[in-house]
Amino acid sequence: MRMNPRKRTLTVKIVYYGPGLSGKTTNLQVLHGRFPADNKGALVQLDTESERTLFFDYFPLALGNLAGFKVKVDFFTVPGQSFYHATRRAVLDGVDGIVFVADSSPSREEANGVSHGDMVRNLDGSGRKLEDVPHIYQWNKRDVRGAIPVKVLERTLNPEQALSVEAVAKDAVGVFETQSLLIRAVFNHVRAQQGWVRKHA
Amino acid sequence: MPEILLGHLHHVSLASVLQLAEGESFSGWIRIGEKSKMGFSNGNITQASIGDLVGVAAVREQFLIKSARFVLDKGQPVDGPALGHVMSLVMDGCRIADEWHRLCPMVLDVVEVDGVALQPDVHGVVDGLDGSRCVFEIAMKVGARGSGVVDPLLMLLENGNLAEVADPKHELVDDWFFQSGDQSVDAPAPTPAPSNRPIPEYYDALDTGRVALKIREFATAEAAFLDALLARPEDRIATQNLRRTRQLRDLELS
Repeated sequence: MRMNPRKRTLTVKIVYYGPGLSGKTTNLQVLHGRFPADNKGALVQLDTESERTLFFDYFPLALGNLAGFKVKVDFFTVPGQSFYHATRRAVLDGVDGIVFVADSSPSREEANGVSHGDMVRNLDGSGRKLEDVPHIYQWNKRDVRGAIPVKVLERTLNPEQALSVEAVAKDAVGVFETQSLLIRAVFNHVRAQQGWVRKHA
Repeated sequence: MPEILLGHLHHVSLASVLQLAEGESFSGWIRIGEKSKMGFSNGNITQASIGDLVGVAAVREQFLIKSARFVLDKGQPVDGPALGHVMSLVMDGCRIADEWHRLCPMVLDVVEVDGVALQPDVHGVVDGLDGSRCVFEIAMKVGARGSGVVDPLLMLLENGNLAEVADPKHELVDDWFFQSGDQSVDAPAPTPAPSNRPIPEYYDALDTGRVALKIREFATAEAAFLDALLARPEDRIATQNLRRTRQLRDLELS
Protein backbone atom coordinates (compact mmCIF):
# COMPACT_ATOMS: atom_id res chain seq x y z
CA MET A 1 0.00 0.00 0.00
CA ARG A 2 1.43 3.34 -1.01
CA MET A 3 0.64 6.31 1.16
CA ASN A 4 1.33 9.89 0.18
CA PRO A 5 0.81 11.98 3.35
CA ARG A 6 1.28 15.26 1.48
CA LYS A 7 -1.44 14.46 -1.05
CA ARG A 8 -3.44 12.45 1.51
CA THR A 9 -3.74 9.48 -0.84
CA LEU A 10 -3.63 5.74 -0.28
CA THR A 11 -3.06 3.45 -3.24
CA VAL A 12 -3.85 -0.24 -2.98
CA LYS A 13 -2.61 -2.78 -5.51
CA ILE A 14 -4.83 -5.76 -6.28
CA VAL A 15 -3.55 -8.47 -8.63
CA TYR A 16 -5.57 -11.14 -10.40
CA TYR A 17 -3.29 -14.15 -10.77
CA GLY A 18 -3.92 -17.48 -12.42
CA PRO A 19 -3.23 -19.65 -15.44
CA GLY A 20 -3.81 -18.45 -18.99
CA LEU A 21 -7.47 -18.21 -20.04
CA SER A 22 -8.77 -18.74 -16.50
CA GLY A 23 -10.84 -15.55 -16.65
CA LYS A 24 -8.66 -12.84 -15.10
CA THR A 25 -9.29 -10.37 -17.89
CA THR A 26 -13.00 -11.15 -17.86
CA ASN A 27 -13.09 -10.29 -14.15
CA LEU A 28 -11.51 -6.91 -14.80
CA GLN A 29 -13.72 -6.20 -17.78
CA VAL A 30 -16.84 -6.93 -15.74
CA LEU A 31 -15.64 -4.79 -12.85
CA HIS A 32 -14.65 -1.94 -15.14
CA GLY A 33 -17.98 -2.08 -16.92
CA ARG A 34 -19.99 -1.80 -13.72
CA PHE A 35 -18.19 0.95 -11.81
CA PRO A 36 -19.38 4.55 -12.30
CA ALA A 37 -17.42 6.47 -14.93
CA ASP A 38 -16.48 9.22 -12.47
CA ASN A 39 -14.68 6.76 -10.18
CA LYS A 40 -12.60 4.80 -12.66
CA GLY A 41 -9.75 5.36 -15.06
CA ALA A 42 -9.45 3.81 -18.49
CA LEU A 43 -9.04 0.06 -18.78
CA VAL A 44 -5.52 -0.25 -20.16
CA GLN A 45 -4.96 -3.42 -22.13
CA LEU A 46 -1.85 -4.59 -23.97
CA ASP A 47 -1.72 -7.22 -26.65
CA THR A 48 1.39 -9.22 -27.39
CA GLU A 49 2.47 -8.22 -30.86
CA SER A 50 3.37 -11.70 -31.91
CA GLU A 51 0.61 -13.89 -30.58
CA ARG A 52 -2.24 -11.39 -30.45
CA THR A 53 -3.30 -12.65 -27.07
CA LEU A 54 -4.15 -10.27 -24.29
CA PHE A 55 -1.06 -9.73 -22.23
CA PHE A 56 -1.95 -7.35 -19.45
CA ASP A 57 -4.91 -5.37 -18.10
CA TYR A 58 -5.03 -2.56 -15.62
CA PHE A 59 -7.43 0.04 -14.32
CA PRO A 60 -7.51 2.42 -11.37
CA LEU A 61 -10.58 2.95 -9.23
CA ALA A 62 -11.31 5.71 -6.72
CA LEU A 63 -12.95 4.04 -3.72
CA GLY A 64 -13.70 7.03 -1.55
CA ASN A 65 -12.20 8.25 1.71
CA LEU A 66 -10.67 6.37 4.60
CA ALA A 67 -9.52 8.24 7.70
CA GLY A 68 -9.04 11.41 5.68
CA PHE A 69 -7.17 9.72 2.85
CA LYS A 70 -8.42 9.38 -0.70
CA VAL A 71 -8.26 5.68 -1.46
CA LYS A 72 -7.38 4.46 -4.95
CA VAL A 73 -7.32 0.80 -5.95
CA ASP A 74 -5.19 -0.32 -8.89
CA PHE A 75 -6.42 -3.58 -10.43
CA PHE A 76 -3.95 -5.66 -12.44
CA THR A 77 -3.88 -9.00 -14.18
CA VAL A 78 -0.75 -11.03 -14.88
CA PRO A 79 0.00 -12.67 -18.23
CA GLY A 80 -0.69 -16.38 -17.96
CA GLN A 81 1.89 -17.71 -20.43
CA SER A 82 4.66 -19.47 -18.56
CA PHE A 83 7.60 -17.57 -20.06
CA TYR A 84 6.51 -14.14 -18.79
CA HIS A 85 8.41 -14.54 -15.53
CA ALA A 86 9.78 -11.00 -15.16
CA THR A 87 6.41 -9.51 -15.96
CA ARG A 88 4.61 -11.49 -13.29
CA ARG A 89 7.26 -10.58 -10.75
CA ALA A 90 6.90 -6.90 -11.66
CA VAL A 91 3.13 -7.00 -11.31
CA LEU A 92 3.38 -8.73 -7.92
CA ASP A 93 5.86 -6.13 -6.68
CA GLY A 94 4.25 -4.31 -3.77
CA VAL A 95 0.96 -6.19 -4.09
CA ASP A 96 -1.59 -5.65 -1.32
CA GLY A 97 -4.10 -8.32 -2.24
CA ILE A 98 -4.31 -11.24 -4.64
CA VAL A 99 -7.22 -12.96 -6.32
CA PHE A 100 -6.16 -16.36 -7.59
CA VAL A 101 -8.50 -17.17 -10.46
CA ALA A 102 -8.57 -20.93 -10.91
CA ASP A 103 -10.08 -22.57 -13.98
CA SER A 104 -12.60 -25.27 -13.04
CA SER A 105 -12.23 -27.05 -16.38
CA PRO A 106 -11.01 -30.61 -15.77
CA SER A 107 -8.22 -30.20 -18.31
CA ARG A 108 -6.80 -27.20 -16.45
CA GLU A 109 -6.13 -28.87 -13.13
CA GLU A 110 -2.40 -29.06 -13.73
CA ALA A 111 -2.23 -25.49 -15.10
CA ASN A 112 -3.89 -24.23 -11.91
CA GLY A 113 -1.27 -25.96 -9.80
CA VAL A 114 1.63 -24.70 -11.90
CA SER A 115 0.38 -21.12 -11.77
CA HIS A 116 -0.22 -21.33 -8.03
CA GLY A 117 3.31 -22.61 -7.47
CA ASP A 118 4.65 -19.83 -9.66
CA MET A 119 2.77 -17.25 -7.59
CA VAL A 120 4.15 -18.61 -4.32
CA ARG A 121 7.70 -18.64 -5.73
CA ASN A 122 7.41 -15.09 -7.06
CA LEU A 123 6.20 -13.84 -3.70
CA ASP A 124 8.97 -15.74 -2.01
CA GLY A 125 11.48 -14.13 -4.37
CA SER A 126 10.48 -10.73 -3.04
CA GLY A 127 10.68 -11.90 0.55
CA ARG A 128 6.97 -12.40 1.13
CA LYS A 129 4.83 -15.36 2.04
CA LEU A 130 1.40 -16.03 0.62
CA GLU A 131 -0.06 -16.33 4.12
CA ASP A 132 1.10 -12.77 4.85
CA VAL A 133 -0.66 -11.30 1.82
CA PRO A 134 -4.46 -11.00 1.88
CA HIS A 135 -5.73 -13.31 -0.83
CA ILE A 136 -8.84 -15.00 -2.03
CA TYR A 137 -9.52 -17.86 -4.41
CA GLN A 138 -12.04 -17.60 -7.17
CA TRP A 139 -13.19 -20.95 -8.56
CA ASN A 140 -14.16 -19.70 -11.99
CA LYS A 141 -16.01 -21.41 -14.84
CA ARG A 142 -18.26 -23.36 -12.51
CA ASP A 143 -20.62 -23.80 -15.46
CA VAL A 144 -18.28 -26.02 -17.50
CA ARG A 145 -19.19 -29.64 -17.98
CA GLY A 146 -17.43 -31.92 -15.52
CA ALA A 147 -16.10 -28.98 -13.50
CA ILE A 148 -13.47 -29.96 -10.96
CA PRO A 149 -15.31 -30.36 -7.63
CA VAL A 150 -14.84 -27.42 -5.30
CA LYS A 151 -13.65 -29.82 -2.61
CA VAL A 152 -10.78 -30.87 -4.88
CA LEU A 153 -9.86 -27.27 -5.71
CA GLU A 154 -9.94 -26.36 -2.03
CA ARG A 155 -7.78 -29.33 -1.10
CA THR A 156 -5.17 -28.85 -3.80
CA LEU A 157 -4.91 -25.06 -4.05
CA ASN A 158 -6.26 -23.71 -0.78
CA PRO A 159 -4.92 -25.82 2.08
CA GLU A 160 -4.59 -22.61 4.11
CA GLN A 161 -8.38 -22.27 3.91
CA ALA A 162 -8.40 -18.69 2.69
CA LEU A 163 -11.70 -17.22 1.52
CA SER A 164 -13.00 -18.59 -1.77
CA VAL A 165 -15.82 -17.73 -4.15
CA GLU A 166 -17.45 -19.78 -6.88
CA ALA A 167 -17.85 -17.79 -10.07
CA VAL A 168 -18.86 -17.67 -13.69
CA ALA A 169 -17.04 -14.47 -14.57
CA LYS A 170 -18.38 -14.24 -18.12
CA ASP A 171 -21.87 -13.93 -16.62
CA ALA A 172 -20.61 -11.59 -13.88
CA VAL A 173 -21.41 -14.24 -11.26
CA GLY A 174 -19.11 -14.00 -8.24
CA VAL A 175 -17.01 -11.19 -9.70
CA PHE A 176 -18.12 -8.40 -7.36
CA GLU A 177 -18.26 -10.69 -4.38
CA THR A 178 -14.64 -11.67 -4.97
CA GLN A 179 -13.50 -8.10 -5.32
CA SER A 180 -15.36 -6.74 -2.32
CA LEU A 181 -14.27 -9.60 -0.03
CA LEU A 182 -10.67 -9.05 -1.00
CA ILE A 183 -10.72 -5.29 -0.52
CA ARG A 184 -12.28 -5.77 2.89
CA ALA A 185 -9.57 -8.30 3.73
CA VAL A 186 -6.86 -5.91 2.55
CA PHE A 187 -8.06 -3.07 4.76
CA ASN A 188 -8.56 -5.37 7.73
CA HIS A 189 -5.02 -6.57 7.20
CA VAL A 190 -3.68 -3.02 7.15
CA ARG A 191 -5.58 -2.11 10.30
CA ALA A 192 -4.56 -5.27 12.11
CA GLN A 193 -0.94 -5.46 11.04
CA GLN A 194 0.12 -1.86 10.87
CA GLY A 195 -2.53 0.53 12.05
CA TRP A 196 -0.72 3.35 10.37
CA VAL A 197 -3.72 4.68 8.51
CA ARG A 198 -5.25 5.76 11.79
CA LYS A 199 -1.91 6.95 13.05
CA HIS A 200 -1.40 9.22 10.03
CA ALA A 201 -4.96 10.46 9.88
CA MET B 1 19.76 20.82 -2.83
CA PRO B 2 18.52 18.08 -5.14
CA GLU B 3 17.39 14.80 -3.59
CA ILE B 4 19.25 11.79 -4.90
CA LEU B 5 18.57 8.07 -4.49
CA LEU B 6 21.15 5.52 -5.62
CA GLY B 7 20.64 1.84 -6.32
CA HIS B 8 21.54 -1.12 -8.46
CA LEU B 9 19.29 -3.02 -10.86
CA HIS B 10 20.73 -6.18 -9.37
CA HIS B 11 18.75 -5.42 -6.21
CA VAL B 12 15.81 -3.36 -7.48
CA SER B 13 14.28 -3.98 -10.87
CA LEU B 14 13.65 -1.16 -13.31
CA ALA B 15 9.95 -2.05 -13.11
CA SER B 16 10.01 -1.37 -9.36
CA VAL B 17 11.90 1.89 -9.82
CA LEU B 18 9.42 3.16 -12.38
CA GLN B 19 6.41 2.12 -10.31
CA LEU B 20 7.94 3.97 -7.37
CA ALA B 21 8.56 7.05 -9.52
CA GLU B 22 4.98 7.03 -10.73
CA GLY B 23 3.55 6.50 -7.25
CA GLU B 24 5.61 9.33 -5.80
CA SER B 25 4.80 11.69 -8.71
CA PHE B 26 8.54 11.95 -9.24
CA SER B 27 10.04 14.79 -11.27
CA GLY B 28 13.64 14.85 -12.43
CA TRP B 29 15.90 12.25 -13.99
CA ILE B 30 16.63 8.57 -13.56
CA ARG B 31 20.07 7.72 -14.92
CA ILE B 32 20.91 4.07 -15.56
CA GLY B 33 24.55 3.22 -16.09
CA GLU B 34 26.55 5.53 -18.31
CA LYS B 35 24.42 5.94 -21.39
CA SER B 36 20.82 5.63 -20.34
CA LYS B 37 18.39 8.07 -18.75
CA MET B 38 14.71 8.90 -18.35
CA GLY B 39 13.16 12.28 -17.65
CA PHE B 40 10.06 12.55 -15.44
CA SER B 41 7.38 15.10 -14.92
CA ASN B 42 5.03 14.42 -11.98
CA GLY B 43 5.38 10.66 -12.32
CA ASN B 44 5.12 10.56 -16.12
CA ILE B 45 8.03 9.58 -18.32
CA THR B 46 8.53 12.47 -20.71
CA GLN B 47 11.96 11.70 -22.14
CA ALA B 48 14.10 8.60 -22.51
CA SER B 49 17.35 7.84 -24.24
CA ILE B 50 19.94 5.08 -24.42
CA GLY B 51 22.83 5.79 -26.74
CA ASP B 52 21.30 7.20 -29.88
CA LEU B 53 17.91 5.62 -29.20
CA VAL B 54 15.18 7.91 -27.84
CA GLY B 55 11.53 7.77 -26.76
CA VAL B 56 9.51 4.61 -26.20
CA ALA B 57 12.10 2.53 -28.06
CA ALA B 58 14.68 3.64 -25.50
CA VAL B 59 12.42 2.69 -22.59
CA ARG B 60 12.02 -0.78 -24.09
CA GLU B 61 15.77 -1.19 -24.53
CA GLN B 62 16.39 -0.09 -20.96
CA PHE B 63 14.42 -3.08 -19.71
CA LEU B 64 17.08 -5.35 -21.22
CA ILE B 65 19.77 -3.89 -18.97
CA LYS B 66 20.44 -6.65 -16.48
CA SER B 67 23.01 -5.02 -14.30
CA ALA B 68 23.75 -1.34 -13.80
CA ARG B 69 23.66 1.34 -11.18
CA PHE B 70 20.82 3.82 -11.25
CA VAL B 71 20.40 7.28 -9.79
CA LEU B 72 17.12 9.04 -9.10
CA ASP B 73 17.93 12.71 -9.28
CA LYS B 74 14.92 14.68 -8.10
CA GLY B 75 14.50 18.07 -9.71
CA GLN B 76 12.36 20.16 -11.97
CA PRO B 77 9.76 18.44 -14.17
CA VAL B 78 11.34 17.43 -17.47
CA ASP B 79 9.58 19.03 -20.43
CA GLY B 80 7.73 16.97 -22.97
CA PRO B 81 4.52 15.01 -23.40
CA ALA B 82 4.16 11.72 -21.51
CA LEU B 83 5.58 8.86 -23.58
CA GLY B 84 2.64 6.74 -22.48
CA HIS B 85 0.85 5.35 -19.47
CA VAL B 86 3.65 4.42 -17.05
CA MET B 87 2.25 1.01 -16.15
CA SER B 88 1.78 0.21 -19.84
CA LEU B 89 5.40 1.15 -20.51
CA VAL B 90 6.51 -0.97 -17.55
CA MET B 91 4.50 -3.98 -18.64
CA ASP B 92 5.63 -3.61 -22.23
CA GLY B 93 9.24 -3.39 -21.09
CA CYS B 94 8.84 -6.49 -18.94
CA ARG B 95 7.25 -8.31 -21.85
CA ILE B 96 10.15 -7.39 -24.14
CA ALA B 97 12.61 -8.61 -21.50
CA ASP B 98 10.74 -11.90 -21.09
CA GLU B 99 10.41 -12.45 -24.84
CA TRP B 100 14.10 -11.65 -25.38
CA HIS B 101 15.06 -14.07 -22.63
CA ARG B 102 12.96 -16.74 -24.36
CA LEU B 103 14.35 -15.94 -27.80
CA CYS B 104 18.05 -15.63 -26.94
CA PRO B 105 18.93 -19.33 -26.70
CA MET B 106 16.81 -20.35 -29.69
CA VAL B 107 18.62 -21.70 -32.74
CA LEU B 108 16.64 -20.64 -35.80
CA ASP B 109 16.78 -21.28 -39.48
CA VAL B 110 15.29 -19.37 -42.39
CA VAL B 111 12.35 -21.00 -44.15
CA GLU B 112 11.36 -18.20 -46.50
CA VAL B 113 11.85 -14.46 -46.13
CA ASP B 114 11.88 -13.38 -49.78
CA GLY B 115 9.57 -10.43 -50.20
CA VAL B 116 9.30 -9.80 -46.44
CA ALA B 117 10.27 -6.22 -45.56
CA LEU B 118 12.82 -6.28 -42.76
CA GLN B 119 14.37 -3.40 -40.85
CA PRO B 120 18.19 -3.28 -40.91
CA ASP B 121 18.68 -4.77 -37.41
CA VAL B 122 16.29 -7.62 -38.12
CA HIS B 123 17.81 -8.14 -41.55
CA GLY B 124 21.25 -8.48 -39.96
CA VAL B 125 20.05 -11.15 -37.56
CA VAL B 126 18.08 -13.05 -40.19
CA ASP B 127 21.10 -12.97 -42.51
CA GLY B 128 23.19 -14.50 -39.75
CA LEU B 129 20.82 -17.39 -39.04
CA ASP B 130 22.57 -20.60 -39.99
CA GLY B 131 20.81 -23.28 -37.98
CA SER B 132 23.70 -23.59 -35.58
CA ARG B 133 24.28 -20.30 -33.77
CA CYS B 134 21.64 -19.02 -31.39
CA VAL B 135 19.80 -15.71 -31.70
CA PHE B 136 21.76 -14.05 -28.91
CA GLU B 137 25.10 -14.88 -30.47
CA ILE B 138 24.05 -13.54 -33.86
CA ALA B 139 22.46 -10.39 -32.44
CA MET B 140 25.64 -9.61 -30.54
CA LYS B 141 27.77 -10.20 -33.63
CA VAL B 142 25.74 -7.86 -35.82
CA GLY B 143 25.16 -5.31 -33.05
CA ALA B 144 21.38 -5.57 -33.17
CA ARG B 145 19.36 -4.14 -30.30
CA GLY B 146 17.31 -6.82 -28.55
CA SER B 147 14.26 -4.64 -28.10
CA GLY B 148 14.24 -3.87 -31.82
CA VAL B 149 14.35 -7.43 -33.05
CA VAL B 150 12.19 -9.30 -30.53
CA ASP B 151 8.77 -8.64 -32.01
CA PRO B 152 9.81 -8.90 -35.69
CA LEU B 153 11.55 -12.23 -35.05
CA LEU B 154 8.58 -13.60 -33.12
CA MET B 155 6.31 -12.48 -35.94
CA LEU B 156 8.52 -14.19 -38.51
CA LEU B 157 8.42 -17.35 -36.39
CA GLU B 158 4.66 -17.18 -36.06
CA ASN B 159 4.22 -16.67 -39.79
CA GLY B 160 6.49 -19.60 -40.62
CA ASN B 161 9.21 -17.47 -42.22
CA LEU B 162 11.62 -18.78 -39.60
CA ALA B 163 11.66 -22.11 -37.82
CA GLU B 164 13.29 -23.30 -34.64
CA VAL B 165 15.93 -25.96 -35.23
CA ALA B 166 14.82 -28.98 -33.28
CA ASP B 167 18.25 -30.56 -32.95
CA PRO B 168 20.83 -27.82 -33.46
CA LYS B 169 24.36 -28.84 -34.43
CA HIS B 170 25.66 -26.34 -31.92
CA GLU B 171 23.48 -27.19 -28.97
CA LEU B 172 25.84 -26.46 -26.09
CA VAL B 173 26.53 -22.85 -26.89
CA ASP B 174 29.29 -22.61 -24.30
CA ASP B 175 31.30 -24.68 -26.80
CA TRP B 176 31.60 -21.61 -28.97
CA PHE B 177 33.59 -20.01 -26.22
CA PHE B 178 35.86 -22.94 -25.68
CA GLN B 179 36.42 -23.77 -29.34
CA SER B 180 38.34 -20.58 -29.97
CA GLY B 181 40.81 -21.31 -27.18
CA ASP B 182 42.44 -18.57 -25.17
CA GLN B 183 41.48 -15.93 -27.67
CA SER B 184 37.89 -16.61 -26.75
CA VAL B 185 38.43 -14.78 -23.49
CA ASP B 186 38.71 -11.56 -25.42
CA ALA B 187 35.94 -12.37 -27.86
CA PRO B 188 33.41 -9.55 -28.19
CA ALA B 189 30.38 -11.68 -27.56
CA PRO B 190 29.73 -13.95 -24.59
CA THR B 191 28.16 -17.32 -25.00
CA PRO B 192 24.43 -17.46 -24.50
CA ALA B 193 22.65 -19.88 -22.26
CA PRO B 194 21.38 -23.20 -23.54
CA SER B 195 17.61 -23.56 -23.75
CA ASN B 196 15.68 -23.61 -20.47
CA ARG B 197 18.60 -22.16 -18.58
CA PRO B 198 17.91 -18.75 -17.01
CA ILE B 199 20.35 -15.92 -17.67
CA PRO B 200 22.30 -15.66 -14.41
CA GLU B 201 22.76 -12.60 -12.26
CA TYR B 202 26.15 -11.00 -12.76
CA TYR B 203 27.19 -10.57 -9.14
CA ASP B 204 25.98 -14.01 -8.11
CA ALA B 205 28.00 -15.55 -10.90
CA LEU B 206 31.07 -13.49 -10.08
CA ASP B 207 30.88 -14.41 -6.40
CA THR B 208 30.41 -18.09 -7.21
CA GLY B 209 33.38 -17.97 -9.55
CA ARG B 210 35.66 -16.29 -7.03
CA VAL B 211 34.77 -18.75 -4.27
CA ALA B 212 35.30 -21.69 -6.62
CA LEU B 213 38.62 -20.28 -7.77
CA LYS B 214 39.86 -19.96 -4.19
CA ILE B 215 39.25 -23.63 -3.56
CA ARG B 216 40.65 -24.59 -6.99
CA GLU B 217 37.32 -25.78 -8.40
CA PHE B 218 38.30 -24.65 -11.87
CA ALA B 219 35.39 -26.11 -13.79
CA THR B 220 32.87 -24.42 -11.50
CA ALA B 221 34.78 -21.15 -11.58
CA GLU B 222 35.03 -21.21 -15.34
CA ALA B 223 31.32 -21.85 -15.74
CA ALA B 224 30.49 -19.08 -13.26
CA PHE B 225 32.65 -16.48 -15.02
CA LEU B 226 31.11 -17.47 -18.33
CA ASP B 227 27.74 -16.89 -16.69
CA ALA B 228 28.92 -13.48 -15.54
CA LEU B 229 29.92 -12.66 -19.10
CA LEU B 230 26.56 -13.82 -20.26
CA ALA B 231 24.86 -11.40 -17.88
CA ARG B 232 27.25 -8.58 -18.69
CA PRO B 233 28.88 -8.96 -22.10
CA GLU B 234 32.51 -7.85 -22.45
CA ASP B 235 32.81 -7.22 -18.72
CA ARG B 236 36.47 -6.64 -17.86
CA ILE B 237 36.40 -8.20 -14.38
CA ALA B 238 34.69 -11.39 -15.51
CA THR B 239 37.01 -11.62 -18.50
CA GLN B 240 40.13 -11.23 -16.35
CA ASN B 241 38.86 -13.78 -13.84
CA LEU B 242 38.09 -16.22 -16.60
CA ARG B 243 41.56 -15.81 -18.07
CA ARG B 244 43.12 -16.26 -14.64
CA THR B 245 41.04 -19.39 -13.99
CA ARG B 246 42.20 -20.96 -17.24
CA GLN B 247 45.82 -20.06 -16.61
CA LEU B 248 45.73 -21.61 -13.13
CA ARG B 249 43.97 -24.70 -14.41
CA ASP B 250 46.52 -25.14 -17.20
CA LEU B 251 49.38 -24.65 -14.71
CA GLU B 252 48.00 -27.32 -12.43
CA LEU B 253 47.43 -29.70 -15.31
CA SER B 254 50.98 -29.22 -16.56
